[in-house]
Amino acid sequence: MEQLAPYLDAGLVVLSPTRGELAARCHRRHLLSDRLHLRPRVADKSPALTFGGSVHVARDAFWEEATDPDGYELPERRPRALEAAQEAFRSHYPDPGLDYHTVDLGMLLLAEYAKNAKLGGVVPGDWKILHREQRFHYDLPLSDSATLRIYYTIDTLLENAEGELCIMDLKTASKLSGLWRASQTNAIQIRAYKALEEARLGRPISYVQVEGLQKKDDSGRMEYVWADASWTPSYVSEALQLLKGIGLADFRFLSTAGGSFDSALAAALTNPALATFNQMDCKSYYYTCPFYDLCYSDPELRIGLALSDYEVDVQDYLDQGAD
Amino acid sequence: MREPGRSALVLGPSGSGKSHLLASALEAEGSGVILMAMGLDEVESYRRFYPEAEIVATQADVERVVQKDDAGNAFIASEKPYLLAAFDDDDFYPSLGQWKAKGLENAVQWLRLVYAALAKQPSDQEPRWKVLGVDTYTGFGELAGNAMSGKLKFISPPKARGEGGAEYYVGYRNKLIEFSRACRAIRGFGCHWLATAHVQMREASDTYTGQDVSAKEQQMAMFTGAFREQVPSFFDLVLYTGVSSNGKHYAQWQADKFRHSKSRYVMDPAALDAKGRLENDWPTISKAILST
Repeated sequence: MEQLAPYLDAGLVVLSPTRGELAARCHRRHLLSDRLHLRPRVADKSPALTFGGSVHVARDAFWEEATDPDGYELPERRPRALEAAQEAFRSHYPDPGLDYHTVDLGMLLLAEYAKNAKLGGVVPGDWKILHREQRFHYDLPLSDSATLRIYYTIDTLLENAEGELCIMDLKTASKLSGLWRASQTNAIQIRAYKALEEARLGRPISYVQVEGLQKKDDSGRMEYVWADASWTPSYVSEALQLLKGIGLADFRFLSTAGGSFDSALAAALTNPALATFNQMDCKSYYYTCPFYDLCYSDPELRIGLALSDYEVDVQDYLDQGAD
Repeated sequence: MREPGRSALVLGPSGSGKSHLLASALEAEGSGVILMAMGLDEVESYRRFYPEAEIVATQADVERVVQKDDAGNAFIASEKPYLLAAFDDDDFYPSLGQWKAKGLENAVQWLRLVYAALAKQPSDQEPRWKVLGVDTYTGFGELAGNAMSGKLKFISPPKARGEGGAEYYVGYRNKLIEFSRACRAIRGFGCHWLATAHVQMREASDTYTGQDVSAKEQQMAMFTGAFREQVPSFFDLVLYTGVSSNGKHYAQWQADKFRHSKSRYVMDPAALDAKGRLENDWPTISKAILST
């Protein structure tokens, strides 16, 4: 079982808000990708995910260049910051890109970002960056003998002159639609960030915002969503309870799956009592789940198909729990 | 996690050495299952294995080789290292109103028996059969066509846009996907999957024309409809067999210039000649396969 959960013997189950969000959509997919670390042998990464990751790297490079050591913005440095961002994107993103997610699109979005981004988003004031892309963890008890360790990374934590804190999270989206705005306001991940940072800092987070960058129509349009405008404390803490529920389900799976990779694979693919499956999520975000062919094949053949078409991603296993 | 077997689609005209490659794989690996269609047309290619092979071509052969355990589950009772199983639609005569076409269905059942036997083995044990050969894959395509004709009562395949066309071709594709899935699943247990296919030329189309190769030069497996496009994606690589002007058999590997290659394997450039060719022999080819 060590291969599946190196910390399980210590009673630790690790999870991130992103992976928790995935688990809430389809537990089987989460188990296959995040517990068994399976990836298709034929590389087939989500173009949107790859592109978004590179935009994040570029944004980090932008603010690294555009702020002073105390985290305050230096507006005159924006042109240089844009260059740094575009250079970081080019280094990180595969050339020529995947479907419509081209390098040119990345350059366009970053140019729009440099023109329109506001450190504090929709909240005016004198803001400074406290930290960027830093990884933390938070331990939540599952039972007397088990703990859920939640790893998370916040894009940016800001503070204004009044001492108020703001979480700023970047998202790239096909279209910044009403549906998109609603999804950002309700997402487990963004609510969990607030709950986790408040627990870590022992201080309230006054604002949670999402920086949206639109990809379609080559518009590079930007929009800020004030995600927590209508959140109540119970609504925020519910996110941690949802993650706890997933942690409990994973702990049950890892503990009862028989102690070997083969039996865990069999349980994930064929035992709905341990691994539920949501057929409505197979084609979400315009991208077919990488395990689609497995789930829609004869259950008796699934183990052979999994062994044939998938491999364990060793790096992901080593990074277990990272966002 | 177990390492799966390798898989290769072997395309070529009659007499170019496709079955020779499968036979060389059987010899090199020491064990294997060959599924043949249509019928026993291809069995002569495996003659040298007869003394150690279980040959299954009739119902009597099936009853001899397939037994049931105490729980009523069917299993392959033979201990011989080679199994040569032939499939055909002997009772399918549509012009005479005889519609029974069970060849492909029987082949899938046979694949599931092989799968069950391999799945039962401990993961640290070598697979009981190290090669799964399908000779010819396009022959099983014919059986899929027969199955759909038998089901929908067509004497000959209908037009795709005519009455019953959608049902026929969707059913044809689904049957072959079911067959292919069982083969892929067997590969998961460490068994190499090699499938031969007769070829047809792709119709000329602007979509498939590149700078230095025209669409006319595209050889495709002789299947019907959308399945033909899908077939290469089931395999780690695609090989073409041929005979050179001096009478020498060869296998040739060509990276697909027109599509982003999803092949897990490439061939060692040092093992290939200037035309991408190498000896049509499994040990040579196997040694030349590199992971990407």
